[in-house]
Amino acid sequence: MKEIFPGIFRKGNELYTVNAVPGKRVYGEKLTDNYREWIPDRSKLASAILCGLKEMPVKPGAKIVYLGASTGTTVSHVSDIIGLDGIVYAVEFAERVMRKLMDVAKDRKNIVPILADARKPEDYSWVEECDVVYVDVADPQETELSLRNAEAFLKKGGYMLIAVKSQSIDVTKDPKLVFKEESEKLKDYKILQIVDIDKYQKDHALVVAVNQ
Amino acid sequence: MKAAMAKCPFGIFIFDEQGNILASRLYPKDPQKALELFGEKTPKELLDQLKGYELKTKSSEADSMLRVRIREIGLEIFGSHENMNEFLSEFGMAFTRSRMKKAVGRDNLIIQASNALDDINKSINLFVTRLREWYGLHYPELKLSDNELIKSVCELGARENFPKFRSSTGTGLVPEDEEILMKYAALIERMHEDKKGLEKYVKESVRETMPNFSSLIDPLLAARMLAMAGSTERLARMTASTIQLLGAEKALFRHLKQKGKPPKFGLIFYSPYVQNAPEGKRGKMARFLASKLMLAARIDYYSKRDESSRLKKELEEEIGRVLA
Ligand SMILES: C[S@@+](CC[C@H](N)C(=O)[O-])C[C@H]1O[C@@H](n2cnc3c(N)ncnc32)[C@H](O)[C@@H]1O
Repeated sequence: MKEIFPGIFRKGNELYTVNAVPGKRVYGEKLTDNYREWIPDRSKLASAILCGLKEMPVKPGAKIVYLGASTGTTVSHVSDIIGLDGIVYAVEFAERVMRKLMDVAKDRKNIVPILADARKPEDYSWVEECDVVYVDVADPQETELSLRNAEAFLKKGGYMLIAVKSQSIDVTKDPKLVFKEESEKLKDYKILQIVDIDKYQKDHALVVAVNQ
Repeated sequence: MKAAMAKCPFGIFIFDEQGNILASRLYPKDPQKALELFGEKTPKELLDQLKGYELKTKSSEADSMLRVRIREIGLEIFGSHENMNEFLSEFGMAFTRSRMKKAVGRDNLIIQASNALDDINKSINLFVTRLREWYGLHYPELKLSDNELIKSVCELGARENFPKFRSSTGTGLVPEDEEILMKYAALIERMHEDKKGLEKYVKESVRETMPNFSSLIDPLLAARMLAMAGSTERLARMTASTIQLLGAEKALFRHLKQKGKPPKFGLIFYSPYVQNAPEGKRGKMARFLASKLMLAARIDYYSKRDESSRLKKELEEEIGRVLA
């Protein structure tokens, strides 16, 4: 097993993180020793790593705003990676999935569950300034929503990671022009990479941008 | 001069236009209390300190000024990232819990679903009995459990297709007979699948609406007890002894008409805490469980906090002491 990014391990085509709650599963993943399998079919961030993500801003000690946390599948791995010195503010607006997320957060003291609509960052204005804004909401206004949250919570030089439907962007174009419609709003951000994750997550890509 | 206010989980802070902190009020280190104060109006003493300033109580500029300093402030209070993060995590839990919809009326939906589950169970039994009788005409030697019978008839059809088939005294089937039997078995199989979906729904909904109650007793049983009680409100008003007898109404009635012994347990009897106890101690177990369930029902209905781990631990300690 090889550590390919701090706190992230790879063996062949399998990814692992170090389980912050030894012996406990979150979504049916495999456990070996203290490692917890990170299944790319279940997590767009894991897919992106296997599909050639170059820089990984989710690292030990990082502060993260995570929009669209759902039941906490990816969030749990983020929690493993950042460790107890890091923090992930997990925003989700559906109550049903939030219950499950709260169960996950009960054992992991670096997850802050926030029941709120990510279109209204003023509803959780008490969140601190962060290193990363991660967005996976599957919402037509995703870009707009990402920018508003980044404006509020992302530090200068911080990263924005957005999981998007490939048809809403142009994967082949120069990264500067990727967003078909919204490119104008993104002008304060430099797009570093667009990772095509179609192999694991049909018709999806992960956009990596830095706030400059 | 102008001033603006912002709040974070640690307290209220008032800034001047240059971003200096003019006044502040820290909340207690208890996340639940902090949240309560977070939701309240700014205390008057704090405002009194700002005579001569024009104060804005909602300001996104002040929010941003505070946001970049939250870490620093928190570290001063808590001493380490780890402790500070733990506080924030619990604050987030409390914040989220307070925003969850009050489950008004949801209990009625659960009661209907739980009753539907009872109906479907009864129907499946009825259907399987029919299938057994019907298929028995064709292959009386076959000995299978209900589920195996349904599956086998559904997949194999006539007895000749069973790998272990030798001979039978039953009536032979023509293709039309076989087809209709297989369809009937498939119907039962589908009901079985639907039942699983319904079960999952009931379990999840009960866990959402009654997290404390359903942590002490199987969620499907919890739903049936809720159905007997009629609503979460009525359940929350019941005494422990009424809870202990929920579901034993028929036996109780019989007893009141002076036939038969008074019942000791209702649905609670099916809890493993009671089932696994030695015969002589079951009554005691049921009483313990019922009194914890009473507490749980009240917490679920009135305060809505999730105290399931504490309740469960206390119950298991009490039980452990009795069994030891
Ligand atoms: C594709 S799922 C996220 C999966 C998750 N990121 C993971 O990998 O484990 C999208 C989630 O975003 C949530 N969502 C959609 N719009 C939202 C909004 N405006 N605010 C908050 N959550 C939202 C949905 O309820 C859903 O749970």
